Amino acid sequence: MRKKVLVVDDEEDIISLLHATLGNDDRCQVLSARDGEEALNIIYQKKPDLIFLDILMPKMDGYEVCQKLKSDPATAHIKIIMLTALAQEFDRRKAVEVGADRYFTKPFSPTALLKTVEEVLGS
Amino acid sequence: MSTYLRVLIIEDQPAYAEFMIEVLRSGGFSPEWRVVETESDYIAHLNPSLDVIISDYSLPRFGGLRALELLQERGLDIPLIVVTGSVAEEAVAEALKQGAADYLLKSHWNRLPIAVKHVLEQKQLRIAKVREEEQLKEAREYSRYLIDSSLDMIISVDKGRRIIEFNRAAQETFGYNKAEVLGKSVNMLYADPEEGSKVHETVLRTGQCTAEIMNLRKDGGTFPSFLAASILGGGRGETLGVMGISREITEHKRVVEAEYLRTQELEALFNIASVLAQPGSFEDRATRVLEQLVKIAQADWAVLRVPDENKQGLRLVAAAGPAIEDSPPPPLLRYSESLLGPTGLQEAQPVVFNDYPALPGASPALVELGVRSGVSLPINAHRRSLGLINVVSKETSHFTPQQVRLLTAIADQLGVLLENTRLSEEITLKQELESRMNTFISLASHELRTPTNIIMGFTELLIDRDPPRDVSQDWLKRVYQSSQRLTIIVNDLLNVSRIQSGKITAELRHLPLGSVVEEVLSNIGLTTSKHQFLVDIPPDTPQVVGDWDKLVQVLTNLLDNAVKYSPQGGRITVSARHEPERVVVAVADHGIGIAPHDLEHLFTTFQRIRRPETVGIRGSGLGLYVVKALVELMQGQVWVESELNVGSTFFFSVPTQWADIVSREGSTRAGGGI
Repeated sequence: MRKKVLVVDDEEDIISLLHATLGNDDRCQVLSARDGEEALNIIYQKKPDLIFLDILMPKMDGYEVCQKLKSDPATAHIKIIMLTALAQEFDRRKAVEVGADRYFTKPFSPTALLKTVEEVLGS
Repeated sequence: MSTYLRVLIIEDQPAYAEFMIEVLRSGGFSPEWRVVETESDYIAHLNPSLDVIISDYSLPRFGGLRALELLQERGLDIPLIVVTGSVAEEAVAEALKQGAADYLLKSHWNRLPIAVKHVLEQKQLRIAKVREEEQLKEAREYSRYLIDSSLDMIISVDKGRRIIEFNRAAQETFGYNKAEVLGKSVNMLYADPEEGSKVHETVLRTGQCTAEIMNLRKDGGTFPSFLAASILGGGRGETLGVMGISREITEHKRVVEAEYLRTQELEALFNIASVLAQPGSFEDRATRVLEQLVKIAQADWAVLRVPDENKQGLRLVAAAGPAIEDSPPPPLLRYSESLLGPTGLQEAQPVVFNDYPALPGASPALVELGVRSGVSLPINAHRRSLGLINVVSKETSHFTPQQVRLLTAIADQLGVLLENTRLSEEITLKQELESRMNTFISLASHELRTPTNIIMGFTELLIDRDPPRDVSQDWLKRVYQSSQRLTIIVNDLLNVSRIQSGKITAELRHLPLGSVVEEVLSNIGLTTSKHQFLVDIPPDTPQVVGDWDKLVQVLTNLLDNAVKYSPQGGRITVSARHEPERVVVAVADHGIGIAPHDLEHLFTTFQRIRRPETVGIRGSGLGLYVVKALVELMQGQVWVESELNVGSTFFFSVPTQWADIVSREGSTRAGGGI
């Protein structure tokens, strides 16, 4: 079955890089959103399997989006990988608290990221 | 109605005696009478209740003269009328001399009642006179007693201002006895005789005068007194002189002055407390405190100085006083000129200069300004010397110990203000530094990590996947843009750090502006395909004097902004126009523009405008701050014109003439610095 991956980031370049990394082929469909609100809309419509979530975003930050999804039984199963430039221990802990499955700091390696995606999705 | 009369008659012929009684009766008297013939008989019947004695001048064994003598011996005041048989003038004269009240010739008996009436009247007059004299004496004693019992001094002078009354209180207070002053000029009692004359004149002119007088004691000491003087009038309303009642008020004055000072002290402390409680700059508040000091001490000016470590002296921080404009105190007082040097500042006690110019080491500059006396008040807080207040007068020995005490109390208050200001500045600086550090860290995290991620990520994919040419071209373009972005950010960060530490220098030389613009556009042009760049530099534009790298950075930042903030694309124009001694460069876009209220913060570090349109536009917030600093370093100016949703034009000027120095230290120190 083709997996749906949502990439949420306010940086156009990062979205492009994730597109390029994940590929947009028969195994994976890549969706994108520029801020938290847009992300929630897409999530409820398209029901993605995995979300890459930036933390510092306009309108609603990544922690809040993550918390919303993980506390809603309809979306709690969606895997979330936090992807951020914030690299402090505090941010890592907060990501775990709000229920994120993984935490990646920028700059990331596309190869390492792909490996994690396969682990998380179990395929 | 007849008058009752007790009569003693000395006569040896009873017929005469009876005749006399008869005459008296017919004269309106009702006599009770007795006749005596001898001395012993006379003595036996003498008593004070007798009204009159009528005596024959000479009897064989007794006579009028002897009777008079006996009366006087006994101290009896009974009128005695001598009767003679003939006009013997010598006898009459002798009798009157001995004290007879009257005499009578036997040939003029009809005169007897008149004579008796006359001597009785005379006796009455005598008695009344004695009584009157006694009363007068009593009254005199009473007023003497009053005057001498008075605690107030009572001093009277005649019209020639000679002392005629000087009571006991005056004697005790002045130290003179009565004999030493009576008849002498009252001037001897005044410290300033002129003052005494004025009092006298005022009293004579207006009838009275009250005044505070400075008096002179016998021992040469002086004392203040309160004098109430008035006309000294005689019984018939004539002016005899001037009388004054006065009281020494040394103690009273001391109490009043102490009270006055205390009130002033409280008022000053209150004013100062309210100054300290109000917001305002330190200099402002210090100036107002100094104004209070000048007012309290009635000084000419007061200054606050603090140690200036670089210049080895005391720097003027605030000054106040009426004389400050005419004779401004020097901004820096070297320790060598200051009587309180760096060690003197450690002294916790105030120092009073009563005769400043006479002191060895007095500053000629201050003497020139007219400083004659002063108080130097060290300001301490927590045993640390913070500075010095100098309160200065153009009068020698101007300051009283009370004033010095009050000034010291206020200086302590100022010490608290100084220390608080220093602490709060320190805290603000620390907070600022901390907030800058935080901003810098998050900036570095975010702004450096994203382009780095793009460069790393796409190069990794290029190596791993070997994509088709159109894809690899797109990825390489993204890598190039990110490295360009990284360069700008790194340069900005380096510049900010140099600017803030004051360690930035410009290598100035003559440059062709067109070449600089060309270099910048060749980089920026590759990062966008939506924009068209137009360069409008007239061929006769002179070379500018600037630093190549800095100009490149300025133009790069302005063009990068122009691209970023016109996301729909469009034309971006770089133009130049020649003005006297400078060239003005303009970078114009057709982008989202800037709201008027955002313009003022535009060139401040780390500030980014937040609007819906700016979401997703990357930026460090450092760019314009760096532009401003670099342009100013090269002796130029930067400004902006913008209209919301129409576009922005940034201008900066570059000189065309050599400045007086080729390479110049940065002076745009923004405090703190990272």
